[in-house]
Amino acid sequence: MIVRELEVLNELGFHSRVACRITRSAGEFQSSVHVKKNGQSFDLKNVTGVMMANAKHGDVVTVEIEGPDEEAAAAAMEKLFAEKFGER
Amino acid sequence: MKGTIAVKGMAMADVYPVCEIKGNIRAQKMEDVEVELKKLDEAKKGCMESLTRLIEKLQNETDKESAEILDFQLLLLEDDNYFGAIREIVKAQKVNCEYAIVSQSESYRSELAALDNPYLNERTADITDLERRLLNVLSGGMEHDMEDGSWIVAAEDLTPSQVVELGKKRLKGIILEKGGLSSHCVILARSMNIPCMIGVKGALGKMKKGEKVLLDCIDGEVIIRPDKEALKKYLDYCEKMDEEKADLERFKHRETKTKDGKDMKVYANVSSETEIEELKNQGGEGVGLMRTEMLYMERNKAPDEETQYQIYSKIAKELEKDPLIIRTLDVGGDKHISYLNIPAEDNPFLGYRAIRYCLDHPEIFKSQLSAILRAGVCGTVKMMIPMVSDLSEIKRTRDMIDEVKQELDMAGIKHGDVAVGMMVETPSAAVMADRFAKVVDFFSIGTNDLTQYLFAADRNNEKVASLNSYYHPALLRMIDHISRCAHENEIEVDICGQAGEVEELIPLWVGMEIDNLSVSIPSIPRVRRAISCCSFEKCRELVKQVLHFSSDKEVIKFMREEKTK
Repeated sequence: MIVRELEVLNELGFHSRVACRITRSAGEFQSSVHVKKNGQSFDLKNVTGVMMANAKHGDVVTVEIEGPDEEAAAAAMEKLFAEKFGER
Repeated sequence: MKGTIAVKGMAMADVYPVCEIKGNIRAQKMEDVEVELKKLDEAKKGCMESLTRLIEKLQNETDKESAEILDFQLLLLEDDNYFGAIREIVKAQKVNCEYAIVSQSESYRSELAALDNPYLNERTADITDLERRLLNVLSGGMEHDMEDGSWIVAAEDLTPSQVVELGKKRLKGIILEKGGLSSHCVILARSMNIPCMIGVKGALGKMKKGEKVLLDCIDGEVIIRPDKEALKKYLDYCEKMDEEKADLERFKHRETKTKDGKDMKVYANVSSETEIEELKNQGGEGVGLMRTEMLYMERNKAPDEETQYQIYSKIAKELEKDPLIIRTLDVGGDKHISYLNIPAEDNPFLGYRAIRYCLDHPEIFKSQLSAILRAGVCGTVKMMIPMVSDLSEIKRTRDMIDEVKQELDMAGIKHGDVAVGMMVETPSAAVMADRFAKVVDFFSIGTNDLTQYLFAADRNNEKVASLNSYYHPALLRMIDHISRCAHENEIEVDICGQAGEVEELIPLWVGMEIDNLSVSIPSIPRVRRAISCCSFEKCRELVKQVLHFSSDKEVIKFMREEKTK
């Protein structure tokens, strides 16, 4: 399992457009992708999971990735977060 | 089927019933869960197809924002916690899938609403939209999104945003089971010139999607599967309309003058900047009433000053030197705006509305005043105050305008010369018109409200609505009085209500020396033609006679006879 601490850099946080991007991206991999927040776990392969994670600008979230292609999935997530999900 | 004509005209097209089906859904035990699941999966497939099509279309039209909202719905259909959960409910509880959809949507909505994030709270609307889509597909293969083509829409009632949305497609006609003559839906239908009939009881039960329907808003009838005779009637009507259209074409782009050379102007009533192009096409000489409520109603919070300034200044520029008369926020009555938190009242039309509300809420009112004053540098901008019933309201408004001007000066922001007029729509303002004429720059008579307040008859209440007659001498005397008071004080007087475009009454408005008529956009050429046919001297005589009549029936009879002379 790979664990990454990633910061939410875009202005609006996990809103629906971002949620769609994350879900689509996570869905490309076999590995499971979860966000841990306040003891709760949210599945990023479900758009509702991303929404309920309710991450805002400046939040640092713990992303856990586990599976055969976890290296690639982790890299993809890092890139997505670093690029502010293609937003401002 | 019979109904009340709200917007005149005739249309023939396939009917599209818009049902609000959610209310009747209850849990039913299902014997065969597999069948139910298959039904559910089919519905999902149908939804995904129509969503994908819509998204493609919107992306082509560069409506990216709407496309993204729909994309979110697409993902919800793939979501374990939403669609997956609906499937689980069907499986575990052995219930109908409609119930599972409603129940899961409800539970996810409350989860979203509980989050401390206003943005996510609002996403409940997307869940509701998707829920409706699924239910519509399940109820007989009807899709939420109308395919291209021309339709007559039948519904219990429509919201203003639904009308706007439908209007973008090729909407031919509207049939409503409910609806009031001055509801927003009807006002919008009128501005888009879409034939509309209201109060057609049981309409939804009687027609199926795709059936041919003749909507006859001349004789007030809805005919399902019209026969040859009905068809001929429709074709005759179309032919007559073509002739009429050619005749009206001549009155689109010319000055408004009576036969004997008295000048008038025909303005238009608008609700948004998108209507200006059509106003110009029809030959409008300005905007006599810009309703600003829509700006507030289509948002979750009051539009800020900058947003308003952008819109007002854009319209002012597009109109070049033609006037733009902006009515300040006319909230209340039948125009409810949730975030303004106006509590429900027993008598909303006699209640806390328009200027009464605005004067108590300077934070909202001043931003509008400021936006209007700033737009003043972009053209001929005027403002008018709705629902004035006492002189003190004008003084307080003027004080507030002065404050705003000072603030703008201090910030070094330019503002223009903006005339301040008032709507004359309360009987007290009408009676005191001689005093009001000394403190405002112009009058605009709002005949819709003035009529219902004068006769003390709710215009939305079928039982008493007929008391509200524009032909009644009581109203005509009142308008004559207002007009005299205006001219004695050398200010202009306009009519911006529906009475202004009633053809039989136009000679009276000419005779009373009303300066400008502000009408719905499609009526502009018709109103100009009616004015052009008048002789001012003759009309003055007509007014003298009519003011001595005792009933609206006498006026109607007299004016019809005059017309045929």
